[in-house]
Amino acid sequence: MLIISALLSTFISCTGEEKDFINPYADNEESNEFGYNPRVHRLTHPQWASAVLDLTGIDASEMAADFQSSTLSSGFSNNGEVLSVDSVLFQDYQRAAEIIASQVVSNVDFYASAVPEDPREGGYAISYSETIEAESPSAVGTNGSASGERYNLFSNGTLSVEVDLPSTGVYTITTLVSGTLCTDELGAAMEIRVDGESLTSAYVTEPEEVSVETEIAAGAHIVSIAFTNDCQDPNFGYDRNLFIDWIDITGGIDLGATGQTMAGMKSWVERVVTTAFRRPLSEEELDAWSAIFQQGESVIQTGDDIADGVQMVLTAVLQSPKFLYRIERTQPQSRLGPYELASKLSFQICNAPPDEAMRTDLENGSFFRNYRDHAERLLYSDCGQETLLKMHEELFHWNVYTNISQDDSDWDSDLNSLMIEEISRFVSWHLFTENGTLQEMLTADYTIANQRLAELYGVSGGSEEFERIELDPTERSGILTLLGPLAAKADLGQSSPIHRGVFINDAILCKSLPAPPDVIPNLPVQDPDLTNRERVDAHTGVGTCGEGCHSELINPPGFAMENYDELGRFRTEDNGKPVDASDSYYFVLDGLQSWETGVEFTQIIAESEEAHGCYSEHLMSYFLGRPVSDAKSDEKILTYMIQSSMGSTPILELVLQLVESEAFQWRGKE
Amino acid sequence: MKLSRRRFLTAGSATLLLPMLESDSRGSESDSQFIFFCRQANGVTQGYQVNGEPNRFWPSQTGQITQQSLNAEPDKVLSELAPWADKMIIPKGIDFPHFYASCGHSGGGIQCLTAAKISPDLSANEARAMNESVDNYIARHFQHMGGEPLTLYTGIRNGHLEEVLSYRGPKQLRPAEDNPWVAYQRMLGVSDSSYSELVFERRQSINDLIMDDIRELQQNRYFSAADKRKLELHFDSIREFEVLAANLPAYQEREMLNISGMEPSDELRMTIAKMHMDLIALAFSANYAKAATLQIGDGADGTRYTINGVTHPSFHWISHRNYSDENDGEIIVGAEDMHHQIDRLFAQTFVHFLNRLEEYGILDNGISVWCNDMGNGFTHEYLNVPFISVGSGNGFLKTGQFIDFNGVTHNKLFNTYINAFGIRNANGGLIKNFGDPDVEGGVLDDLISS
Repeated sequence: MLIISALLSTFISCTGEEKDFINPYADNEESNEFGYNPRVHRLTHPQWASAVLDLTGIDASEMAADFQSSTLSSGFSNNGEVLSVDSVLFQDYQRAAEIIASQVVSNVDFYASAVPEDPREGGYAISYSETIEAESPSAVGTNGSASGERYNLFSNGTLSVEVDLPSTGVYTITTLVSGTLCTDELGAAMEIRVDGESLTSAYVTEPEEVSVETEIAAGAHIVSIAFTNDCQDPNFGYDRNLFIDWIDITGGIDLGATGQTMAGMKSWVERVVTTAFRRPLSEEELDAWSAIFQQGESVIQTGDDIADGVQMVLTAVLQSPKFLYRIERTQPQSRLGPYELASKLSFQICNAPPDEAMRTDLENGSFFRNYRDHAERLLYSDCGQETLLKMHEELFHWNVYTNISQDDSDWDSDLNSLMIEEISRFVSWHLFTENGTLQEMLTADYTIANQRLAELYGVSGGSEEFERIELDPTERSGILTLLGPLAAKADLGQSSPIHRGVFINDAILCKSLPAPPDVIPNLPVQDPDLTNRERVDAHTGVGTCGEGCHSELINPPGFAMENYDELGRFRTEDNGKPVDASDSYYFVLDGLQSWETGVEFTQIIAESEEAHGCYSEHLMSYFLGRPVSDAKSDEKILTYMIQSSMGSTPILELVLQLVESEAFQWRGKE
Repeated sequence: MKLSRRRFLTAGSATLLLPMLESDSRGSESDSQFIFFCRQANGVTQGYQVNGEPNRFWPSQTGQITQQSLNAEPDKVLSELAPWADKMIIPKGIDFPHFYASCGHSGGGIQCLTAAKISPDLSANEARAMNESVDNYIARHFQHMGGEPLTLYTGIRNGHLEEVLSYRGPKQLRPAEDNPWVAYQRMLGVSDSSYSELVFERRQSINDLIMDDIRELQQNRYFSAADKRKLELHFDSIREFEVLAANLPAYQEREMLNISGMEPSDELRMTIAKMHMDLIALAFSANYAKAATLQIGDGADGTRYTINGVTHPSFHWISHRNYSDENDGEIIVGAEDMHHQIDRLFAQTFVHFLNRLEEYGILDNGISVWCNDMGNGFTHEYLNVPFISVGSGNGFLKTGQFIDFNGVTHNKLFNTYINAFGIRNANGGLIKNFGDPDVEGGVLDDLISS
């Protein structure tokens, strides 16, 4: 990778005297050249969901999970450079905004949480009521006909009416029905259905009202009365029919009466739009959004003007570009303003908009002063942990562990999720319990596992619960020797040195490899007299057409992991012959390094500047939300992070260094 | 209650009143605003010397036409259009460039709006135009409907020569919509199942708001080209769903809904055609679409039209003057007169559209063309193909005249239409090269007002 190699050539080793903080303002004039640094960052889907939760109190994460997926860039899914809104995502946003706004005004609890300015007490505001005569043309029957003022379903079938409900809410569907008997002396079995789903059923003979109360979303729906137990016995004069007189749908928003006025709601409009935009509004904006509030009355028309205004503003604000994007308007060569920096810090660390504590400091003008405290607080909070886990998930691709499958007596599909849980817990423990360094992550002699996984490590004991388990340091060393990363890079019944080698080059050492050729001959079938390494070496090693990439770059790290089989179990023999994990690899700064075992290899990596540079660059790319550029400010913090990391600075501290850097806080020359 | 498209903004503040910064690709108000082609099949009763059929279509005298002059010949079909005489152009002697031996209807449909070569397919059903159609050409120069023309159809669907008019490009025949209700829903931006006028109005207002916010953001001088492109994509993605800014009257909506899903029987042919016309007129009035086509009847229109309570045989049979899709059936007595009555029916249906445009006050802002994909039905030939237009395209066309061009190819007529929209070549000159590049280009100067 260009940046790392360029950087390493000017790298000054750590003296240990530097403070754990670089002054973002020092040397500014020389370091104000930035690469492409987006000013318009579309929120990632998790960020969108957090912002919705913050604004409305509604958990929209399931909705967000169904949004059009985002493309990866720089290996991560949060890259502001590529995140955009196309027509598919626009529709996703539109639909979500409409549903969420509708939910707020159709649920007393949501409403109370989202609109405390308009407390409602009791009451039941009917906003929709329609009675449809069964024999009218609006009711469409199958297997029946109008019979006087009723509709007679004489065979199993339905009588359906279409209703267009103005809002999501609780509706009561009532129908007046009667039935005739058959040989079983039962009445007519009927059901009330909405969009084909049965909500209640009854046997009826004498005319009676059957009703059901249910929540229905706004829009068009088919309400049907179904007849389900047709029966005839002409010998005894039985012919069971269902007679329907009318169908009534009544209900709507159940918020109770309001004590608020339109004018009185201006404070809500200001609060909610300010929260959505994550900055104070201009007077013009406040006027405009107040006008949008008033618009609700005419385009929603439930009769509850205040609730209509709330619904309108929420529907609109959730689709506003000022909500959907994190926007940096700060002029070039300046530090981001407090609101912009607060949003950046909060979204990048926590995937969420600024919280109450940050908002308070922003309002008091003390945000910059307390910046480091906020950064630490966020980083150590649950959301900070989630973000770091997500970054490592994308770096180690552990979501693909769900695809692992082996034909092995030790294998079953429970291991898919167990391996994901193991690596996730390991990373979490390492970062937040141990406050660990990169070097330790790459060489740790423990994992977090349950009994089932412990057995695969050859460790007895353990329990159903995940807990810290000490591993044999001669067999295991760090995250690369956990089961998941090894099992994910394996073929059926055999390890895959090539895939393991590519992964280590790519994700751990940031060594860019050229794309493989279009036509790759398959590895030969395993020769019973050869080890896997011998087979791969014969196919790709020195003297073969794969020599260029494989023999020096891909194969050596892959062969280093030959001590682990396709499930990640430790082995000393392969095909009855001793495993040979020894090899050598050319590190840019440290030159050619050789090892005998996988454990030794991980220790070499853990001390290599390449690994620290690569990892620092991943941290930067993820937390800046853009690719690392060769701008001086990027180079400066990258150099500093590498120094720190090699000097055993914990990973979390590296993140704090980054968010305190000029590269994070400033806009450069543009 | 109806909301105007911009009502939302006028209720707002100065920030929201920022101009839309619409590019030139939305078109200039002084140019033609729309073009409509209504296609009749099977030619018209314009006379055939061999069997002694008289001309019952064209006026007797070329030159200026007036309401009076057209009314003076009530035996001629075009007298039906007399009230629009001063806005009308009657061009005679307009021919298609290519002969097609396999099937006159196929070759006619292919060339009708494309002036294109016919692909060398032997099967009439598989032959296609080798360039785009003029409605497509005009539509793609503007951003309305994402550069798409409105393409509507009413006719049977039997797998043979159904819609034939609109082409995206060589051999890319554009599917047409049969159901006016579905077309309407699509224009409103709502699906059939969730139609609600209020939802539509809400979305429209909010889309306007978002688009204006995006335009405001794009004005930020610090934003890079990449950031602006990102916002432009967002903007375009909304415009893609930009919806019709007006509604039909409720009774028309109900009528459309009532026939939605019904088999488009022959009895419904002109009813549906008029509904399509209502939609197109509405779309033009709301500046939603630039170009629209309506094909009435399948390729070789076999509709049994009912006129004055009498249901005639298949129009296609009538055009052949015998009870056959070929020329081997029993003679239909009075076929020529039936054809003439059908020509009048089409003229009257076209009048329905002109009336709608007049109601919206936009008749002269665009060009409405009643055309055919043949000249004379009896011979299935491509000479003297009627392209009767009403409307000057905001003054570009010199109307009120009947000119016999004595055999020019219709690409020149289309070039003339295209130029009415203000579309020009790279040097700012008139467009003269629409259609088959091997056919002589040019415009019809006599139709352009000085």
